[in-house]
Amino acid sequence: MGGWVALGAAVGNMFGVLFGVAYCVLVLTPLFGQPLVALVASTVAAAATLFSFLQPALAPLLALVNATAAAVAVLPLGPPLVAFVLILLVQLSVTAFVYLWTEGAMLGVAGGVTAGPIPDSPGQALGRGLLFGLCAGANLPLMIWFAGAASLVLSPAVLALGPVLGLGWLLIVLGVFPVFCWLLVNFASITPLARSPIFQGFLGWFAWFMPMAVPNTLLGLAIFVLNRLAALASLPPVTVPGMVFNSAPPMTRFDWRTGTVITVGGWMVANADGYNNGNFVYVDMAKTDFPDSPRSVTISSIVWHETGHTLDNAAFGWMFQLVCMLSSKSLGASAYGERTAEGRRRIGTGPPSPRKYVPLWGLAQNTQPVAVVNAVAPVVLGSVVTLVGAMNDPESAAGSFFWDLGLPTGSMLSAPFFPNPHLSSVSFTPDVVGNYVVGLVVNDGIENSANNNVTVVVTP
Amino acid sequence: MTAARLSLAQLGSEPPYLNAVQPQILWVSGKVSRNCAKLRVRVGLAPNAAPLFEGDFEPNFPTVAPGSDPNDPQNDVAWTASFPFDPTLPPFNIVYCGMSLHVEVHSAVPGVTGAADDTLSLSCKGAPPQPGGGSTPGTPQGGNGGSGWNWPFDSPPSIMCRYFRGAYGIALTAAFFMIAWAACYPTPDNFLYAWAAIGGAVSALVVWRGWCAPTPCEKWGVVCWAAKNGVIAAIALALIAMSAGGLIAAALFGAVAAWAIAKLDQYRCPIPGLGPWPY
Repeated sequence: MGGWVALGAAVGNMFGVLFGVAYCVLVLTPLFGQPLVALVASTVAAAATLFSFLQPALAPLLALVNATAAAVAVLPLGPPLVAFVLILLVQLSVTAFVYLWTEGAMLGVAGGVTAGPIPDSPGQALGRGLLFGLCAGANLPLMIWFAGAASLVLSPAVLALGPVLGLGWLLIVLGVFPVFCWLLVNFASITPLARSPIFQGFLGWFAWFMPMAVPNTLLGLAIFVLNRLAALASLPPVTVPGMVFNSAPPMTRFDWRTGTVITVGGWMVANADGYNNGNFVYVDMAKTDFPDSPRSVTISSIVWHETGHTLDNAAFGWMFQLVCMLSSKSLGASAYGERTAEGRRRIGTGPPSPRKYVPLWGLAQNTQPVAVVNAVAPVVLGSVVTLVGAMNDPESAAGSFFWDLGLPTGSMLSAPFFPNPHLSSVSFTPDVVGNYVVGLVVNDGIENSANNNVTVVVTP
Repeated sequence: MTAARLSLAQLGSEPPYLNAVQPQILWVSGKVSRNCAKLRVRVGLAPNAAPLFEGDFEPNFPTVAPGSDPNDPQNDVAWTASFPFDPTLPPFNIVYCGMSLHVEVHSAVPGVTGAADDTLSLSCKGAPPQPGGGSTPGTPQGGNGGSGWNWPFDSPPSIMCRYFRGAYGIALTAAFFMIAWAACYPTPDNFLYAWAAIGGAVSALVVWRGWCAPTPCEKWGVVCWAAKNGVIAAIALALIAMSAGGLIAAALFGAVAAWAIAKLDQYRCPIPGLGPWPY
């Protein structure tokens, strides 16, 4: 499957770079005088239009946002906004197509699967690679452009060093960081790396700088600020379809593993356990720790799932998150983006989840090993009894052995019963007639097997 | 059936340590009444897990003072059970200083009941107590591995370890701060100061590791604490200096903190939070 992912990533990078360069040349450069204002206003306008289809109750508010953004963006700017919208729509369409292809490949294979991991398939792997590549490729030119703009605006000292330290220094400042982030997203194609908590830390923290991840994070920041203002103003609880606005004061935590701000409670919570906007997560306190809930969801397990979305946003971009949100309206927890996030929850805390998952960010489901011991025929007192153990495990060839011995009444054997109870084969000499129970537990490095007991009958 | 008094006191190890960090012998100590001449000791990862170590031991019972009652609790004797092992072989390669292990002790004498169990932390800072005579486990005597020169202070050498740990924590935090400073105000002098601070942190780490046997929990805990404080310092400096470089440094320190947390999770260590020095 690695080959399919790599092929997808290579093709995706080409398209992504094309989109990113198009943004820089056709939109951002002409707006250099006021790039941030124009870009934010245009993005907000586009996002507000889309969201109004999802949250009809918010339509009046979103219409006002739309009108304000349009007035700011359109009046002084003209054609670049049109170019921006066109490029955005094309990129969104490509992303949606690839997402749905990936999801279709997954659902097609998963027809008979009721729980556990989704087997990978060439279509799913190719789609995943395409999505990584689209995001990484678009990030690269955009970051280089923003690095140049930021250096001029925010860190003139950096460029002032150019004549002193040479052109090489300038290239380092403008080039190294964007290339590092580009590599980071592409490395998510390497599954063992994607599952590494160290890699996930880098991906989550540097998502704050990635242009394809930031729009979602900005939305999360806006909701964060709204929550705080609502708490200050003691706004009353409001219920609208799809959203719950309650008056519980929010509590703020921080997930250092992914650089994500966690808000528990607060005015704006979704009609679900929680939701994610980039590097911001919102957890509905009322949905957790219910003693009657069959799922007994804890805040910690919700955070592990939602920070999986943080990583999705960093590696796949905000368009993936948007399409995931739309697809989850009909597919629920079976949506591809929900399954990738649930895969991260497998390595978190809380009770096991019955939800299906794609093991992208989380460890593959471990199969409990089985301890196997040879059967022993009845032996005569004084004979040496040898037992041979083995571990049955589809994922591991080597494991650890733990032997134990139960003695019949009258036996004077004392522990340790075997010279080395951690070998695959052990021996002992019974001292009295009776039934000796030999137990074996094996460990595959992750979990213990059940105890396998074998009774050795010793006769006179 | 008679009942014996059994108790657990300590779980520890002693030099030599493989590669200066891995224990090669594990000892358990406790107290037992004189009516129990044989003990079965089991040490494992969890209460119901298969034992890592198991053995029968016979405590050494010194002569009771004339006129005193052997069954008097003050005549209970201290016992020590030792388990030497090869830390390069599984499953013993997971044993490390500071890890929590479940210890059980039972009477192995037919007709005598008595048991005790507890979860204890494997201490590598002291020598095993001398069994017999009802004495309590001995005080730590330092585990410096023998340097061949007279220790000039009254306190044992091992007590310096917490100062070395603190020095490393301060030096590492200072290094994070200077890196953030250089990122916000990138001048050749500031880069030099940052390298000097990094050198100071590395030196403090070398001294600490060479003198003591820090546990993974301590090593990664210090890195985690310093990195978290480094993130806060970098963000503050970036806002003051209006520097994108400072924000990038903050993200880098955050990724380092995430790395340290991954290691702390791996060794099942507590994760230090922001705020005062946690050790």
